[in-house]
Amino acid sequence: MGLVPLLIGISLVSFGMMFIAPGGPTSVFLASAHPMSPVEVAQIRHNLGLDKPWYVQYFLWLGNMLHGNFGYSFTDGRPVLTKILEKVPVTALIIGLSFVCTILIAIPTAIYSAVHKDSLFDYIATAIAFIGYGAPTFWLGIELIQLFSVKWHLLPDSGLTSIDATGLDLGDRIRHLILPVATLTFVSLASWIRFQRSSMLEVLGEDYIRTAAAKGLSRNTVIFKHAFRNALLPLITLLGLYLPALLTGAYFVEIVFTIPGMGYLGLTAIFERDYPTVMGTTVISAILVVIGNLLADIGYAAADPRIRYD
Amino acid sequence: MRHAPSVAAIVLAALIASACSGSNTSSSTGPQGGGVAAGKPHYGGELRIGSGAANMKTLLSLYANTQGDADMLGFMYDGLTNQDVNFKVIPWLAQSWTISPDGKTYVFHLRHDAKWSDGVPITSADFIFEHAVETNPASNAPYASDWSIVQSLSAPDKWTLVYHLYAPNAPFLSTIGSLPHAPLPVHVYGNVPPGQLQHLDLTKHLVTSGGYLLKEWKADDHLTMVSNHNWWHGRPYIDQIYFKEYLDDTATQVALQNGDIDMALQLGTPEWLALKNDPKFLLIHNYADVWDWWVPNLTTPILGDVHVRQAMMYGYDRVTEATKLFHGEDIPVFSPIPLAQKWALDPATLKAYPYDPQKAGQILDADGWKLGPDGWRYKNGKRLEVQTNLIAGNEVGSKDFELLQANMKSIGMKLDAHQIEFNVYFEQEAAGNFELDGGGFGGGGDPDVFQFLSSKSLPPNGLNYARYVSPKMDQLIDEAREATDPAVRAKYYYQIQELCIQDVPDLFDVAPYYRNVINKRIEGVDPSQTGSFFTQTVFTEPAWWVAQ
Repeated sequence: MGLVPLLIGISLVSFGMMFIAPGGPTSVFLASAHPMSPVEVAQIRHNLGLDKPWYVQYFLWLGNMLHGNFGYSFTDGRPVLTKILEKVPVTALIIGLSFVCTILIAIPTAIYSAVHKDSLFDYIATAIAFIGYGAPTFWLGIELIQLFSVKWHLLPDSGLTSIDATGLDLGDRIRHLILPVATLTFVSLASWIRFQRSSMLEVLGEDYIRTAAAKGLSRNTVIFKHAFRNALLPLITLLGLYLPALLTGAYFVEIVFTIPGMGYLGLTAIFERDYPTVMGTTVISAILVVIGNLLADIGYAAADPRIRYD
Repeated sequence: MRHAPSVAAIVLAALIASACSGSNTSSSTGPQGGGVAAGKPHYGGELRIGSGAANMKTLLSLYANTQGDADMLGFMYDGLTNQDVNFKVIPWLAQSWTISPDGKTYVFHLRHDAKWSDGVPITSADFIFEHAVETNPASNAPYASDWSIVQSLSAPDKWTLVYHLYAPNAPFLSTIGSLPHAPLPVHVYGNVPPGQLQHLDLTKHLVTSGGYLLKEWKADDHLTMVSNHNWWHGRPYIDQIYFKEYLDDTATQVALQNGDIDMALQLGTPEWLALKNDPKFLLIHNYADVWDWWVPNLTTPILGDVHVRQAMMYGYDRVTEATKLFHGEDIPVFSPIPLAQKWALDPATLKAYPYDPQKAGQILDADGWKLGPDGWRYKNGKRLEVQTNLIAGNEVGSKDFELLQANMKSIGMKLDAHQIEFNVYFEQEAAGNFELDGGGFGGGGDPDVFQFLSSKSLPPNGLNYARYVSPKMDQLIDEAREATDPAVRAKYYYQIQELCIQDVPDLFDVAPYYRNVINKRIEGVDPSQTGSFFTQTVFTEPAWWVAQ
C-alpha cells in the first residue's frame, strides 16, 4: 500500500526537476535537422499542453498514469508505455546476467578469501575488487571496447546482435553481451566481495562455529552449512540497496554499448526534454526497484526462519 | 527518389560536424582508389548505413524532422519533384509542370504509373489529402508553415494538381517536393483523425511510395528496408538497406572500421581523419550545403555597432582556423550562400575580410575604442567585452572559440565563454538572451535566405536570431524569391552577398566539406555524382550494386 504514495512522491519530484531545469521540449524542434518555424513550435506546444501551468500538466499526467496511460512521446508521438515495454526486457537481461555473474564470482571468492585470510589470493582478490570499485562504469566499458573490439577484433563493440544475424542466434547474442555484462559485473564485484568476506570473517569468529568445529564436523560442513548461511543474511540486505545501483549501472552500459534499453531511452528522453517518456522511465524504474526490495525481503525471510512479516 | 529538402537547414549537423577536415581532394577531380566499378550490375545484397548521432523518430513522411528521418524516409517516400546533385529541380511523381507567366500558378501533371506499395495508384487525391492533414493544426505537422505561400490547391482530375500562390516564389518547386510534403495514401489514412496520425503504430502495415519498403523498424536500434520491385523508377539493384543507429560518431567510425557498416550519413573531422586512408573505402568529399558562423545579437550595444563587427572579421584569422583547427578541410567563407550552390555564390566573397589585425585596430580606433593600459579597448569608460554562448560538450566549438578569443584579444576585445546545455542554448537564442552565439546554418536545396536574414523572420516568427533589420535586404530577398529565372535570381543573390559584406549581419566563418566513405564492396558509385549531403549522395543509389 505504500507503493502508491511512494510513486506519487517520486513522480512529483521528477516532474518538478524537469520544470526547474532550463530548456524545454520545443527547443529541440528549433534545433532539428530542418528547424521549424517558431509559429509551428507554438502550435505544437499548445497541442501538447505545454502552455498549461506545470501543476495542471502534472495532475493531468498523474490521473492518466494511475489508469495505466503514460501518454505519448513528445518527440515521435508513440505511446510511452509501448516504448518502455520494448526496452524493459533488454535492461532486465543485462541486469539479470550481471547479477548472476556477480553472485557466482563474488560469493566463492569472498568465502575463499575469508577462509584463507591474508593469503596471496586474499590480497589479489581485494586489489581487484578495489579496482572495480574505483573504476567508473562508462570508462571501463570504453576501455574494454578499445581492447577487445578495436584493437583485437575479438568481440563486437555495440548492439545486441550483429547486423547480419537472423532469428535468435544465441552465439551471436552471447558474443554481444560479453563486454556489457563483464563491465557491469566487474564494477559490482567489489562491494559484494568485500561485504561477503567481512560477513564471513565475523561469522567464522563466532562461538557456535568453534563449537561446530570442536564437535568434529568437517571443514566444508562448518563453512558452508553453518557459517555461510548466517553470513548470507546481511548480503540479502545488501541486495535491496544494490538494485538501484545495478539499474543505474545498466543504464550507463547501454549508453556506452549502444544497447537500446531503458537507460538509452531515458537518456535520450532527458536530452530531448521528452517529459512523458522521462516520467514513464522514472516510474517504471522506481517500480522495478520496489519489486527488487520486496524480493529481498522475501529472500531474507526465507533465509532466516526467525524473520516473519505481519 | 531521394528528397533534398528545400530548406533542410542542417543546424545540428553543422554544429556537430563543424570541425570537419580532411584532404583537399574534391570528389569532382575523380574518385580515390575506387569510383565507377568494373563489375557488372546485378540484383541482391545489402547496403548497411550507420547513423552517427542522428536517429529516426517516425515512419511517416509528414513528421520527418530529424536527420535520420530525412535520410532514411527518403528511400521510402517519393515527392512531387526531386533535385539532382546540382540542385536542379527534376520531375518525379510529377512528370511535368507549367508555371503561369506571373509566376503564381503551378500546374503539375502526375505520372500515371506510380503506385503505393499496396498497388493503389498515386493520384491527386493523395496530395490534396496530405495538404489538408498538414495544414490542420491538430496534426502537429512540423512544417505546415511551408504552405503559407499557397493560396489554394485544387485537382481538376486525378492526374493534375493546381497550386495558386499569393506571390511568385522560386523556392516553391523544391519545397513542394521535399519529404515532409510527400503525398500520403488517402485510402489508408483518410479516416484517421489528424490528431491521431502521429500515434499510429505503422511498423506492421506501412504503405509507401518510394524505391524501398519497410521490413522492420526497432526504434533506437535499426531500420531494415527491402527494394520495391514495382517502383515506377525501376527496381533498385540493392535488395536490402539496413540502417543502424549509433549514439555518436565514434561508434559509427568503429563500425566502419570493423566492416559492420558500409557508410555513414556523414563524417565528422576525427572520423574522417581516421578513415580516409583506409584502402577499403571510396571517398566522398564535396562542398557541403552548410556553413558555420558566429551569430551576434545586433540589439546589444557593442555588437549592434557595425564597425565592431567589421573589426572582428578583420581580426579573425579564419585561414589558421581552417588549416590548423580543421586540418585544411574547411574553407573560410563570407556568404549566406553555401559553397555547394555554385550558381548563386559570388566568388568574391571568398576573399572578403582577409586577416588583418592592424586594419581591425584602425577601425576600432576610429570608432572610439581606444586601447587601455591593460590591453583591452575602452570607449566612454566601457570595456570592449562580449559574452559568448557555447553548447556544453561541443569540443570542436570550444576549440574554435579559443582561437576566436585569442584573435580578439590581440585587437583588444575581450570574449568570455558561457557553456550551456544544448536545449537551453537554442531557447536563449530564440529569446534573444545572448550577445554572441556559435552555430551554423544550411540551405538544403535552395539558397533562399529569407529564414535568417529577412526582418519578417525576426523571432518569434522566424530564425533571424541576429535580429538583423534592413529594408534593402528585405527587398533583395523578396525579389530573389519572386524571380523564377536562375540568372536573374543569381544577380539578386550577388547583391545580397555584397550587402552582407557591408553590413556584417552575422560573422560568417568557415564552410566544411561533406565527407563520407563507402565500402568498396558497394559498386557503381560515382563520386562525381554524389552531393552535398546524404540524400544527394545516395541519389543514384538505385544504380549501385553489391559486389559478389
